[in-house]
Amino acid sequence: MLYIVTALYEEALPFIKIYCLKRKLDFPHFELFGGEEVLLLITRPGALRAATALSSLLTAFPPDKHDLLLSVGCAGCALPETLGKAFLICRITEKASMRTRYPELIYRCPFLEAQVVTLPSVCKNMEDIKDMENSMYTDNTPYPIKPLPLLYDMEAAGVYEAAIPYFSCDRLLFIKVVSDALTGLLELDNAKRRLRITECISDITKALADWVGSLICSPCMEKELINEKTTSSPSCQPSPNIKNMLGTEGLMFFYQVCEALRLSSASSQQLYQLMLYLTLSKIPYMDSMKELLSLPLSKPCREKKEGLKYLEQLNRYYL
Amino acid sequence: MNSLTDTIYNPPYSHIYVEREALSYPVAQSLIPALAKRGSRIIEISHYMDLFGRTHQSFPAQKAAPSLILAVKHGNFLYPGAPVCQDFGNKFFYYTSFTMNCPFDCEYCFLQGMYPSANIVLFVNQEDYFAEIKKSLSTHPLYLCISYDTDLLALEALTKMTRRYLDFAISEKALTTEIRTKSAVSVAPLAERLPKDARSRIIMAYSLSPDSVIARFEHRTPGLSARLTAIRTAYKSGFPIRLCFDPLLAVPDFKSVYGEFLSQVRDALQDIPIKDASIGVFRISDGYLKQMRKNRPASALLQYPFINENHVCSYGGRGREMMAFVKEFLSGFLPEDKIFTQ
Repeated sequence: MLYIVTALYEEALPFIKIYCLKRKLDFPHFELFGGEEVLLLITRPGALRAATALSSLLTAFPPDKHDLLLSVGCAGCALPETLGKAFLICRITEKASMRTRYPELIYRCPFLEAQVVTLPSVCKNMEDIKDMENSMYTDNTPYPIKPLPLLYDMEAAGVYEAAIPYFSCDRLLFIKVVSDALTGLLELDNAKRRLRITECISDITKALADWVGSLICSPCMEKELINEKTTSSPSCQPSPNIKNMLGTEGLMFFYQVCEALRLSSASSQQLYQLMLYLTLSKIPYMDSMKELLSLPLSKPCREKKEGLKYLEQLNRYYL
Repeated sequence: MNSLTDTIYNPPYSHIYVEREALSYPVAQSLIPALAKRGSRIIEISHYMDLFGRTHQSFPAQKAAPSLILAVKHGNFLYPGAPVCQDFGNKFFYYTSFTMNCPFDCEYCFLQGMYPSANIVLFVNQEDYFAEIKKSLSTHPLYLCISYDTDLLALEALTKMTRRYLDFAISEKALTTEIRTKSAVSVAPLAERLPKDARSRIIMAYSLSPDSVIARFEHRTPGLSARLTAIRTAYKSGFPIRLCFDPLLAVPDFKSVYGEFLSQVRDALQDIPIKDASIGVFRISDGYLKQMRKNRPASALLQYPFINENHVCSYGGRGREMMAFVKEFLSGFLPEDKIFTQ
């Protein structure tokens, strides 16, 4: 599943078209669009709104291990050469707290890299950010360290904080397109501003969709997914904290044996661990285990002590 | 991970994060331009833990494309050796970490349970370590393991930490050092920096496993044959040799697999005087194991139903049998007082 997060409808529009998304009316408090394996959330501007909306979405539609979150939107930058260009964000700083976050950069990316500062409001005055510009750029370093372009937005820090409890660092991608030279496009009227924003995003939508598609469907991801799918059955879980990797048949047998041997929760965990090890080692155990436990399976143990003896017998046999 | 076919990942060390404080150190000054020249992106940070200590990092994903972090170490530089580790009869057994994390990717490695990140941290203030070591040596001799939380020789081409350490250790006669490795890097160039008597205080400890175990669990490491060749080179270079049969893993047909492996080792090294050998089965703290299982939920090796004794998970009685088997074999070509078990 791909989760796309934008602040404005104008930023979302190109993705709504390319992924053929439809408005989801069963998510009433925020604008949510859905399609095949894609959810797109429009948060409205501001880090707090972004965090609130995204938290709400991820609680309602919790992601799996391999899902991706793509935060994409417009940003401003003082450097004229960055206008119209898209950047992968490698550092996010929240101006209010000066807290810094680092998205993972393990994937090859068709875009250049930049850092972003999340402001509480649209930057209209260079004086407001002069201290940021001075502190972020390292012109006085003795080495050829090229400073990262410094972008300004209003959402990235909020999106990161809301997303990180649900995703591992490497599944969060932040893309910003420089739409203005720190004017907020306020020099344009509303209609032209909306059009400009959509144009900025449209220019990179295809390349971004192709790149993100390759990350979701890479050979190594597929291999992991296949490995997990053959040994897991999401509908059954022996306990809330243990993902079932025994498969449906294995899990049913596990429950059957636990009942037959009157195992406590600790002993059940031991049995589960043994069965999990045998499953992952591709050691066929079901038939032999049924034979070893033929008696208690037909007539359950009366006492836990009796069940423990059978568990010890299983450990001796298989390990 | 198949590094050659996965084009979605950046190459290793495509990004170098450097603490501002680290910039002025000679190690950083030599590394950064060299890495920038080969295309690495250099990013300045305030503190290495801003990156290394992030929540919800994926150890396996980072192993596919590790970054390098250059930092300045503060606080303790020397740590007493852990009880689960062999001290080889040395009273003052310590270890130190010039580097955190390893370029290899062994499925059983405790580092994935101990550290939240697979990125490699290189501490650039080696001189501070040397000062602490000297201070310790003023009161007692030291047996120091310098390659515990890493594989220093595997990183040597990049970091050159080992040669800087050896330049320091030359004159410290009360200092005995162990450098543990799985790499097949030739140590002959390192030997050239040391007089013969100094080399005798640097123990090269090679971790060995059967080829089938290497192929299945010790990803990106050299094969057994390459390691045995490296051992011969290290011996010819004048370093004492330690063989580490650790960890022994409970694989199917253990005796057959390890019997063949030990025969191979014996045949390759029987003409070399081995300083000593250590034997140990896989053992890990329960806290680390929990994290390791979370990182690799589909690993049969880690999902083995270990016996938990005093918060250390291992094979229990089966493990003792495994160690006894290996010890008996080694006794055939090594004196018993040179074989140390965990």
